[in-house]
Amino acid sequence: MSLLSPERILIALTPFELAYARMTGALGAGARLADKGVLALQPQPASEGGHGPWHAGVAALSALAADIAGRAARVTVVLSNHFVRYALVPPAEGLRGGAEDLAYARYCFGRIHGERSQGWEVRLSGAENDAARVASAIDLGLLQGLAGCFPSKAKPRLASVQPYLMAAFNHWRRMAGREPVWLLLAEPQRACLAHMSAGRWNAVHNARGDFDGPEQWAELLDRERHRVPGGAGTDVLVHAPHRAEIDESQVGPWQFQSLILRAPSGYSPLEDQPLAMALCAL
Amino acid sequence: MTRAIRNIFAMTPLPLELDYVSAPRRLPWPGLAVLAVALVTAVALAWHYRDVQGKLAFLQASLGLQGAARPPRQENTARLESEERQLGLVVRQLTLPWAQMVDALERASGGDVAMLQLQPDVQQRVLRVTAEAKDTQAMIDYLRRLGESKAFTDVHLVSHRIQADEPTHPVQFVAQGLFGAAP
Repeated sequence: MSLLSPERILIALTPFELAYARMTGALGAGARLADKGVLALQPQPASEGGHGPWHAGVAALSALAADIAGRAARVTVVLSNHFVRYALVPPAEGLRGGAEDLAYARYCFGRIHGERSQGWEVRLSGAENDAARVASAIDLGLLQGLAGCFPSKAKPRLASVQPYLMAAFNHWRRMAGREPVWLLLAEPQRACLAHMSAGRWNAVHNARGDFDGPEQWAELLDRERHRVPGGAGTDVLVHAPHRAEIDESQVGPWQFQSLILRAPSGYSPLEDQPLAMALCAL
Repeated sequence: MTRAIRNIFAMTPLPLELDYVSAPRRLPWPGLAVLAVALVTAVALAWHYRDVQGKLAFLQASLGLQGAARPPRQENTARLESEERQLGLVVRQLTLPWAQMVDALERASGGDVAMLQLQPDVQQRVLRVTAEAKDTQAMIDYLRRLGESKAFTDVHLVSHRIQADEPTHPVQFVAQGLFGAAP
């Protein structure tokens, strides 16, 4: 392992499986898939608020962490949208950034989800001036469970825990450009739909349901199109790694374009689909 | 191809920063400040180095010019001095009071002394005379008369030898005296 390009272990945590990929080599085109695996999890009943349970996933991750203990690597965990809540935080005057902005984001979650949000860990992204900002919230117990799998000052090191939306958007954000565009992240029993134009976020919706194909996606878009300003566009960038086929179809006005992963060498699009969510963090 | 795809290379939106472990990648202002100071220092040092290099090159060029000019000047000076000495010697030889000295020598000889050789030393203004006298007394008389002449001063006998092989036993002698010193 090189000090300049240490190993990276990318993990996708969903209610149904834990997928991991061990990467070697430099970032970008030099990355190589050295090891991989998928651990099936026993689906558990949805917790209050419709978000899938994470305890089974954390337990599986704890076992995996014990197997790779001592390996000098940086671990990145990508959280399924089943474990994450999103909100758009409108711009507010008088806030001085930092803790005040974060408190305001907590307030926004509280208005949407009530007192349940008090036990959530919130993050707030940056944005262009006078634009709404994307905030995310996860259970504090989930974050503590992940941190417990990788004790500080031990190897491997937990370097990042990021929502699927963050990993996917950052992976393909150059495709968003300035034109209005929809981003759809489809998972089993969940879809996260976001809209942005001119570099500004207009909507983020994380819905539970059956979103297995373009027909269901179009229904979701038909409902959500009223949340965004006029001229929202009909281009939809889709990442649905659980679907084997490449979706480049049109349903009604909606034109779906599948996002192609910038996969490392050694990655098979047909066999390694469960790794796709984790590899978005590359 | 959709418009979104066509805009791949359009202005890119800001990345989402929702990481729960890593801090958002904001601009590291302290690091940038240190970098700016380092860059300014590096530029100042480079400027100073360039200035010093320029001065050094100028000094080396000056020294080189001086060093290159010095030997010819020394050579010229030595040659000029030598030529000057030669010229002075020639001038002094040309300006020797030959007529006065020859007249004094002829007057002192008195018929008993014959001149064999004259060796003037212009530098020392000494005239060395080799002559042969009839006898020792004639030699002494000759030296006395020569010393009394106005053309010579400090006339004295350097060496003498009696020619025993000759039937008349003449005396061959060398005398010298200063010329041109007395008023």
